[in-house]
Amino acid sequence: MATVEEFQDMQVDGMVVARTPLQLAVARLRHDYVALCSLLFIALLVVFAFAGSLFESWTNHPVNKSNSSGVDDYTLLPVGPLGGCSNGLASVGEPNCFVLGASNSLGYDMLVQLSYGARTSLTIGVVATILTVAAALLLGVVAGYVGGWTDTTIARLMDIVAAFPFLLFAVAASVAFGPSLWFVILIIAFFSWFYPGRIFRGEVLALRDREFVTAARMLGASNTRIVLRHLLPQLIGPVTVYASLSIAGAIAAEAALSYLGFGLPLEIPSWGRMISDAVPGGLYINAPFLMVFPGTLLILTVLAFNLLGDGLRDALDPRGGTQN
Amino acid sequence: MALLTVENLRTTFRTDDGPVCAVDGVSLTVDAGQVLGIVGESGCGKSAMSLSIMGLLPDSATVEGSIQLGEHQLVGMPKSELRTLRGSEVAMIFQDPMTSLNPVMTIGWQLEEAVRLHQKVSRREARALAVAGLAAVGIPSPEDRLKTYPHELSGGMRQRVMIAMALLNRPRLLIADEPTTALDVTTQAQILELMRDLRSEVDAAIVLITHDLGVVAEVCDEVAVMYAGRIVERAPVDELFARPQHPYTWGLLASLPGRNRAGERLHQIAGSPPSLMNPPAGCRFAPRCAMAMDVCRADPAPVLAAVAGSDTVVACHLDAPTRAREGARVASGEESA
Repeated sequence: MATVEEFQDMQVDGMVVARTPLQLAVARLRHDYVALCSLLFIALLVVFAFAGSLFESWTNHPVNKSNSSGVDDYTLLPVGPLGGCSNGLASVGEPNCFVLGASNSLGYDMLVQLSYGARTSLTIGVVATILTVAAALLLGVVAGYVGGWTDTTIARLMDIVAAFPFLLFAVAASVAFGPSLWFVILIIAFFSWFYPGRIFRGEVLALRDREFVTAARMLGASNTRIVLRHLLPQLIGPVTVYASLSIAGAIAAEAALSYLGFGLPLEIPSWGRMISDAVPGGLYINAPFLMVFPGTLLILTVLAFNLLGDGLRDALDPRGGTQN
Repeated sequence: MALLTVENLRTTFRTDDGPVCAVDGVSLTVDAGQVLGIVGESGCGKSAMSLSIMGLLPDSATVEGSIQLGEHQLVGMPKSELRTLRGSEVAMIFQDPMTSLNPVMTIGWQLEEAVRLHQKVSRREARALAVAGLAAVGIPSPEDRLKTYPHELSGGMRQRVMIAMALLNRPRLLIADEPTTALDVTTQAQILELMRDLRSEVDAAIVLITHDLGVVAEVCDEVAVMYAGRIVERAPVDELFARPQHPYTWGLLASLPGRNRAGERLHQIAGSPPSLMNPPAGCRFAPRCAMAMDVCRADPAPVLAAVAGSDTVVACHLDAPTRAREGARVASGEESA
């Protein structure tokens, strides 16, 4: 299914050169504009997240600090047409106005909060995903490779975790354990590992009886070596894909928890909480950007990681998936 | 002394429907530098036997009897010890070279791994051995090939790589399980030629499993014909083709194409091999044998006995003159009874 461009890529001085699976995947990804846009967006988001302290010193609005000049004393609404920008874009540098120029109801600077919120989302997305994939690999590979009772036990464990209502449990546990960043990361990882775990188990199950595994065993390779050196490298594709999808899931889950007011302590900025802060008293009707900015960023971020995951799947496994 | 001595090997698989005895009391010997062919239909226990020798059967299988390889008794040997023998003392070539190489690793990586599993050598030395191994199986510019992935090679090339890999640690016993079945005819001939050449060079004992009597005629010194988990005839290769003794061997020989019968339907042995879960009493070939007598269908089954005036042993109740007459008829290419 190679496209014309792919064939052109293969031609070097009129010769067909052999390429590694990674080179092939990169070549396919290079022509997948949706995935490339997603990647670009994610890169910009990372820059945006790292720029938090820059925005703070620029606008002179520290994170998590109310700026009384951004709130109307009488209505308690953010002032200005964008919900806080009194003088428009022209007056950058003036202590009470900033580029996007909106602050939430507490008088927080929206740009600064969004930037720190991006940091929170990316941190939770990445760390929770590392834990998710690690647990999924460990349990999935062991279940698939060992089989028998071990497999049955782990598979049932996956079913049980899958049957748990995530939000209900997370909210209850959050009340019990109190808010913390690690709690959110762990609870998200705990409720996500089973899905990629099943996938990895299935992959290993299919690979385990392939002849090259028997051939490796014929050469005297131990089980540990077969798993680590022969099977795990085959899982790079699915791991990459599900890591990307899992980041999106974790970010959405964190936003949902924060929206409900559980999970993260108040001093950690979060897009989900910014959205929920715009709800009381119909604030968002008068100042819609309080909801629009964090909401849009959240949607775009989740979408970008999902589309990147799809693109990676198409690039790494061109047999199935969507056509584009 | 024989390098490999298998005595009374019984391999039983535990299944949901009860035990299945895939190999039932097989005994054979192979000397260093000798090629023993094992022929028979699909499902008659050839592969189960070779995997028993390799210790590569799943846990649901039990192996009884004796497999003596040099000074090692393989039956009942701890798994870890068996693993050190695999690849170094005994190696195996599989049927389908398309699937028996790891698709995501380079040829070089896989060859070097095979070396370093058994020899304490540096990467550089392992590489040198890998290159030498590839050169030995007739692969051109072996250094360049190290960097290639299996999908970049043709089937014949891959089988050469597999053979190189199996021979890297100079095993004393090489089991080849239908090494040419998945290849086209031209490539088959090349691989067989390679095996013939290697056989004199490496001085290993080779067990060649096949259902292709043409392959047997090409490379084997001795042939064992297996049917339903038992050996029914064992003979030097010339003897087998000149004076086949067992009705099953006649059937196999008669079903070879191109024996003066162009345009005719190929001969086939009526019926199919019996279920090994509940094998027939007496001679297991009796239900399909045109010359079966009452004694054939009753226990005890005929045992392997020497044929006068030759090195052949056969397990058949037929009397010697009948066997000689029918055997000669089949060998000359006429339709058997």
